[in-house]
Amino acid sequence: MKYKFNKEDELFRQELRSWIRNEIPGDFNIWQGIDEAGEDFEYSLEVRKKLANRGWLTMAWPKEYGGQGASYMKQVIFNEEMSYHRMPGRDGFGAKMLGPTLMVHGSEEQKKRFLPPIANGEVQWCQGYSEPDSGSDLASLKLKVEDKEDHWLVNGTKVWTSMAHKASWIFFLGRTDPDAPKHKGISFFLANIKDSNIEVKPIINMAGRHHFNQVIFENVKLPKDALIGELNKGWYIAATLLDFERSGVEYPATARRNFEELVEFVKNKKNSLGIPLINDPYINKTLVDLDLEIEAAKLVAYEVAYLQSQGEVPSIEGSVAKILGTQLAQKVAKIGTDFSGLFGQISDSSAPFDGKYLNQQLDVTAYTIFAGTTEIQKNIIATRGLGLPREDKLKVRSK
Amino acid sequence: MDLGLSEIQKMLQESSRDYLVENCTMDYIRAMESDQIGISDEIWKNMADMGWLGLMIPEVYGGSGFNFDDMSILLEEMGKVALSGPFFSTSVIGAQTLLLSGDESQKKEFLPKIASGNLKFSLAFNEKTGSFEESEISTTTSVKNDEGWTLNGEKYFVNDAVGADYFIVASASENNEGISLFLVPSKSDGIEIEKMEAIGGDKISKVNFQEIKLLDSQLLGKEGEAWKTLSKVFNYGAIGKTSEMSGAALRVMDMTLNYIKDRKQFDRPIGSFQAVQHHAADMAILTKVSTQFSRKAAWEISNKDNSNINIHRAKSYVSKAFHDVCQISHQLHGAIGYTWDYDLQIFTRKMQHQKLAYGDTDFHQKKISNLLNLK
Repeated sequence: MKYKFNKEDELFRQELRSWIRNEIPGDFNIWQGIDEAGEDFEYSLEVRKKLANRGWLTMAWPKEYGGQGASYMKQVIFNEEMSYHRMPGRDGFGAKMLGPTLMVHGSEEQKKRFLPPIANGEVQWCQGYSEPDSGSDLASLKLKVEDKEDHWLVNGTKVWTSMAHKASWIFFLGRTDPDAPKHKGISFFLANIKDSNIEVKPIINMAGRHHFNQVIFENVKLPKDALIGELNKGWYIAATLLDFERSGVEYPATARRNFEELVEFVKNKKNSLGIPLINDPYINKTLVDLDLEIEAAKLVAYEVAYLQSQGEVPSIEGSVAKILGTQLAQKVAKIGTDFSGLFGQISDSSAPFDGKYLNQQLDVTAYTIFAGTTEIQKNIIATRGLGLPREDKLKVRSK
Repeated sequence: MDLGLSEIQKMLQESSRDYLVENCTMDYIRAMESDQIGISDEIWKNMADMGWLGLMIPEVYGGSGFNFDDMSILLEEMGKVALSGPFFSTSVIGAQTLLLSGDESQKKEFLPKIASGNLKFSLAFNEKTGSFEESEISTTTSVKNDEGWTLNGEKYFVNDAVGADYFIVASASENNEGISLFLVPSKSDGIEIEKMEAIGGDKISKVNFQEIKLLDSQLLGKEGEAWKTLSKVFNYGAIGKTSEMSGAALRVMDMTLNYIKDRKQFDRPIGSFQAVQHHAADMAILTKVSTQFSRKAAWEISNKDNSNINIHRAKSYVSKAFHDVCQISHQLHGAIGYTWDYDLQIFTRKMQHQKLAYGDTDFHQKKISNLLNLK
């Protein structure tokens, strides 16, 4: 038992932290971060290149692919500090998901072509998984990919595709064998999203922001080498994505920064009697409860990374971390909004933090839905973790 | 970062689990609820032989020389079988109080006898208010005189008073500046013990100390300076109870999983229904976080410092989580879990002491608030 990072890791944290604080435009104490999927995308790419230059963007990659082979704990620290400081520039789709998948399943040529631009922070990828009729039941996806001897012909629609409007490439799952059992007729492909037969239609979320899209493939012809790995093995290839650091530490780290900001706020903000809000026992208790939830999510995130560092595949821990982290994000947003009193409905600059927490409250509604809803995560915990029988696998005798 | 157990902790975990499962059966636990002392002589002797009673006592005083994070592993296992009784009062609270404040001759005299199972201790701290703050000591007084001291006062919520050989009594010192601790033999004239009916069968008493004559050699630590010791002892107590609860929560979850895999309604195990599965998943979340909170706090007490925020976080979180786990377990067990004969209710009743002992959620949350400077 040792609940402490080792010295080398702590030194890395210090180095990273001072770099970030230096890099943030203006005072990091008031830095609010940026909308990476919106107008600040270019700035985020700039930072990404700097991260690439320092080797941090792909620190998790093996040395043979130009990475550092960094430990899981070091990756946790990286994500923790970046999230805590609201620092843009990380590359979830390219560096964290597609890159490692290519290393395992890509051909030599595919690796040579696609890995270096990711490692250099030069390219934005997006992920085409969900479809209008395939959400939680992803394996039912229908986007049709036909083998036309010298090319693939793609027809269908992807939806909720984050960053598609900023990306130059998309990796996606398509149905290559309509007759096989649903998990066994899916393949993994790459496409240049700027193809004239691919249409990216914006979807504006309820916070009024453009984060995700509908991506329509209409008679898109792809070269044969757009296929990654074996035909009809796409479901399993996509699953390998998940074997890299996925502690979910970004949620408690983000929440901790917001917590500190909210504490400062209620220390300075006074009620109509001139008493600082922090002296209100209800507000005090709300903050202590929040502190506990932040720590709970952090402990589980560390446990995920620890298990990964031991060569174990976290089973329920990953789902627990996702559930706790995303609920936490919603809680912080709600508390921040509640603390604003009547301004909790105002999103202009007269409101505390310019209505940031109010907007966040709308944004984070998606958190418990995306990347496996809370309900799906609980199903996973119950069936894979606790060994309870799957409802859809039961043969019920009808009487 | 190493969240796994050391080899020695694994051995302690396995051997204690084997012993406790075999010897501290639910029938035994039920029998001990109506026993005066709450432990059989045989098991007490075994605990001495296995080195548990002196687990945290240094080897020079006849103990095993383990750390508190090791103790927390043993307490998890005790929590799993719902074992209460004088072990905690003697070997966690008593031993730590002596180690922290006893002088060399007191340590030499008493600690080996704790380790060998020859002496039981009981800390008499709380008064009627029932708080774990320094201000709790308001009516118990120790007055200095020519021969030594005279102690008077009425103590409430005294754990394991019956069967204890010595009380460690907290009293306001003469000038009312600070708290002093005294070692008081339980056979002394003027001691009256009255049982308080505890819901979990824990041995809790009112103890009245009247005109107790004490010698200087019975003073434990310096006059008026015991609060420093006590606040540390309470942190051991709080995390000890937290470890028990995180172990007990795992057992309650286990019982529940077995039940819902087995129990059939509508021609299928009820554990196949998602409404039931999501309750089970919630239990898994609560137990997972509880184990991490309690082990981290235990490790920090052993390796960093005895007074830090993670102790308070652990006790307040795990108390609430364990309560939730019991509640969910009852919900999933349906009517059977509500009966006296079914073992689940033993955990639910004993939980109440574990939650309250050494500071309830509210107490520890206020500490968190202070340490985060939320003012």
